[in-house]
Amino acid sequence: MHRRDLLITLAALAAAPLSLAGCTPAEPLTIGLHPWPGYEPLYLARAFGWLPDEIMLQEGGNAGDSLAGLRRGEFDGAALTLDEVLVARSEGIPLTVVAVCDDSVGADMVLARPGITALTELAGHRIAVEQTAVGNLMLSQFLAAAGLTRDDLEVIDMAPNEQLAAWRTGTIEAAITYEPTASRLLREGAVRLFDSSQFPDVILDVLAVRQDRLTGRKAALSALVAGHFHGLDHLRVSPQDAMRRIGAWRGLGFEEVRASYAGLELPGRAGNRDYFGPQGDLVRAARLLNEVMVANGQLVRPDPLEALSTPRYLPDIGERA
Amino acid sequence: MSLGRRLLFGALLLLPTPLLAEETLTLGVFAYRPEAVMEARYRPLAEYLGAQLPEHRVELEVMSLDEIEEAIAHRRLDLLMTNPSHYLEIRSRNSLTGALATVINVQHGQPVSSLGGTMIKAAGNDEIQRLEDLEGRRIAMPGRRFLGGYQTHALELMDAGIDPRRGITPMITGSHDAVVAAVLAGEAEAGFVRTGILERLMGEKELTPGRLEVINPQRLASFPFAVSTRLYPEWPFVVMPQVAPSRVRQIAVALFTLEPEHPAARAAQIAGFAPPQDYLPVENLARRLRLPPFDAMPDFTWRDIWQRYAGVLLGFAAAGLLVAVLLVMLARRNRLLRQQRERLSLLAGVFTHSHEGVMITSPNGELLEVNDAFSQITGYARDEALGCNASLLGAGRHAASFYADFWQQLKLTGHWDGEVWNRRKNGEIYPQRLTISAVTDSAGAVQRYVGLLSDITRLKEHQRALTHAAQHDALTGLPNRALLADRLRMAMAQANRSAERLAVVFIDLDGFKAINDTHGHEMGDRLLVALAERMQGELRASDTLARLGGDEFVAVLLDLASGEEGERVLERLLAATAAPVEVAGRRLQVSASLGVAYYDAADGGDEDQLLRHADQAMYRAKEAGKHCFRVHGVTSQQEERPIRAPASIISEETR
Repeated sequence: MHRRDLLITLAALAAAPLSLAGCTPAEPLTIGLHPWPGYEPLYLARAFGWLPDEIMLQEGGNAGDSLAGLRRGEFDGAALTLDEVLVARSEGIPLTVVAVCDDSVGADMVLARPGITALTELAGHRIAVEQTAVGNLMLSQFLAAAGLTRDDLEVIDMAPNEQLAAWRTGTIEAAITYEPTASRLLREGAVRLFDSSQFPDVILDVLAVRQDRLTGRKAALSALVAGHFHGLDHLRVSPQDAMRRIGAWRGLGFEEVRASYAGLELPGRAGNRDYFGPQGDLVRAARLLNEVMVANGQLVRPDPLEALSTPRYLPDIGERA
Repeated sequence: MSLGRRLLFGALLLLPTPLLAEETLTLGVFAYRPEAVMEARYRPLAEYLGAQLPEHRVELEVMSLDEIEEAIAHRRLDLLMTNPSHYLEIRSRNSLTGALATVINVQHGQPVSSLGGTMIKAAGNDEIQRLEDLEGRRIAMPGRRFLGGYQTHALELMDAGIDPRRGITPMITGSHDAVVAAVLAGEAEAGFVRTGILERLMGEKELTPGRLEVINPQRLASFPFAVSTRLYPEWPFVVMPQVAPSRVRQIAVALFTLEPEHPAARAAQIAGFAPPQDYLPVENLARRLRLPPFDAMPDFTWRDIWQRYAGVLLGFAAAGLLVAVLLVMLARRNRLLRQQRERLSLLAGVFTHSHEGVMITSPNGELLEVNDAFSQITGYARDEALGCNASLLGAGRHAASFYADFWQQLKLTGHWDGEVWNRRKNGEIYPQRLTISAVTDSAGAVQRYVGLLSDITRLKEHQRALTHAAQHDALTGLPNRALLADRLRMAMAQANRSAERLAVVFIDLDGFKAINDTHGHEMGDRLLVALAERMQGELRASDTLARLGGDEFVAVLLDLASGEEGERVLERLLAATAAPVEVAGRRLQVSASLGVAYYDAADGGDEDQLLRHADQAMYRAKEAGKHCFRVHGVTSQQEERPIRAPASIISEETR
């Protein structure tokens, strides 16, 4: 080997670990986000400055805003429910799940005006349902549990952030909703008829990113995921502080915020790992969603589930930011 | 009272105390506010606990942090209420039963079991707006061991990039109330207090609302106090290990059943007690700030470092290795360079100091470098020479064919040496020894020519002098025998071609020996020189006069038209030699005997023969009485005129 070649090779070898250690140029990473207890750790991370500057959190009112941003190509990723991820994938947006934010075990619920106590009593009433997979999934599961059909109800397409006003004006008698609207409606006197604890491990809220937008953004993505877990640590260790902050952002009291987490399981670093892999809960949930969504017409064909998730951006267990 | 009753009473008094007298439990409370305030607030709580515990009395002790530690060390405390970071500190040193409960604070009916820090400034102080503005400020604080009064603030300062130890000027006041007073009095630009202090002081009418402002206010739901930091669990209620477990349960029941409306709770301004909170946030805070018990540097093992920084370490190691390799290579290069430089300077010395001119030219002859000797020889300074073509030096004496041969040989062999005539700058033409070598690259293409040139003018002169000395007589400067033979040969060859007459005249002086003997060799020599000059004067330029040695001369006469012309020359020679010569003031006179041999091309014969004939004729002239000439091949009888030596000559000789 010529000496000059040898030098170049040596220099490259020496530089390689350094570049692995994080010398890649920082490309901004834009993530669509909307208020939801499972995503609050990211809001906390942003509030405490635990996210690097190149991460842009684009805050929308609901999941529909995030999906719209993805469709317009403005977002590199978004916090979505798993079924929304499947819908986006069916539209050709190559999303892959990099972290599971929460598992709804009762956080999605059917609320109704006081006085309505049985599921069947809702027949003939107006119910607000967000025309999303979760909304439809909740509706179909609720109808099945109540022994009703879709025609028995007057279904109004309405996202949760619009439901409080509709509730107050008496436009709706019931709503399929989730936090933080759920707490506000409960404060208004609504009663809970049905919730997602009846069918756990199906409604997962995840952080998903476009695989085709990861070039030069891998460090930022790892930092984003690490920021989520940092925020989650704060929520767990200092709930008194974290929940009061969340309460201030969402217009809720401390106890209401605490209650909003009752129906959610927020998996940490170790718990997240269990969701990934060929036998993980993510794939199992996606298979179940495939069935339900194809049956309801929300998906034309089942998602092939290829490259659905990757655990490579999860921080090492035990690592603390 | 009856006697019996009195006896009974007396007996009871004598019984061992545990049966009768109340057991005392000491409740230590950290005095984070003035002692009087603390006494007033917590005495009802102590009394409440005493009342709830059968046969126990609870005594209140309001103490500083140091006093608390001292009291714990001497087992003088049974129950303790202090700030969470102090709790962690003493927990690390003593075995405690852990926190039994966490205080629930209350404000306007809002229960809260979290505390934080409130950063205050005088209202209207616009210089401090944000956290970052606190850098370098004089800040009042109750003390560094106060959780709400310093430590919670310190973490926020750290996160804002301010060193909480050196980035601010602390003013330690000892209590929260004094901090507020210091800020109000303008003694400090800002102050650190715990949450609730401002609200309590306003409730106690000690502070007028609007006089202080909160820095970095946090938006928190369901939190009734102004706060500038994140929140931490409220004070723990701690039970010391010496208290019996059954008593601990009773205390717990008493604490948890304390209602907010109870006078003891109202006095303490709390809403009661909650199950103990997780004090991990306080622990994390202490870790970040390196507070006790985390003030010792963590034990880092090499393994930890490796696990954490393996990539970076490998990178540094590789980079270090690379640097080492490069350094070694650099050192070797340097050594090589030094050697080369030394060699180069040696060569440059040769180049510079050589007496031989050196020139380096491009393949087309352009001068690239010359040395001093070059300048001395050619007269061209280095600046003038560089860039010019080497043909500048030529004198134009050589034919074109010379240069053609020169280039051909140079191209063929890469080398040429020889002598050339060149012209100096001043126009002088001089002979030069020139050696030219071609410098080729690996492909054989000529890169440079290196020429060595030396001025051989003096060498040439010396050579000429040597040649002259070898061919001429040292005394008279006339050709010697060898040159004579040469000339004679040439003349004979010429005569052969042109059929001209050629005469050789052998001249022998008469009576010269006597002059030598009489006047010495020096006089004789000078006479010889004078006569040689005279004889030369009588000859034409084409003729040759040579001295064979002693008083013997030979003249070669060329191109004689006739015998008469030859005789006229001979007569002149006789006359010239016979005329007196003045040497060193003396008149000397000799004569000469001449023998002539004519060369006839038809007869042939060589120059020796011709000379011999002339010699023989000369002897005949001697025999005939000297001072005459005889011609070879002509008998005495044929001689028409006997030549007589002048009497004067004879007389001089004999004198």
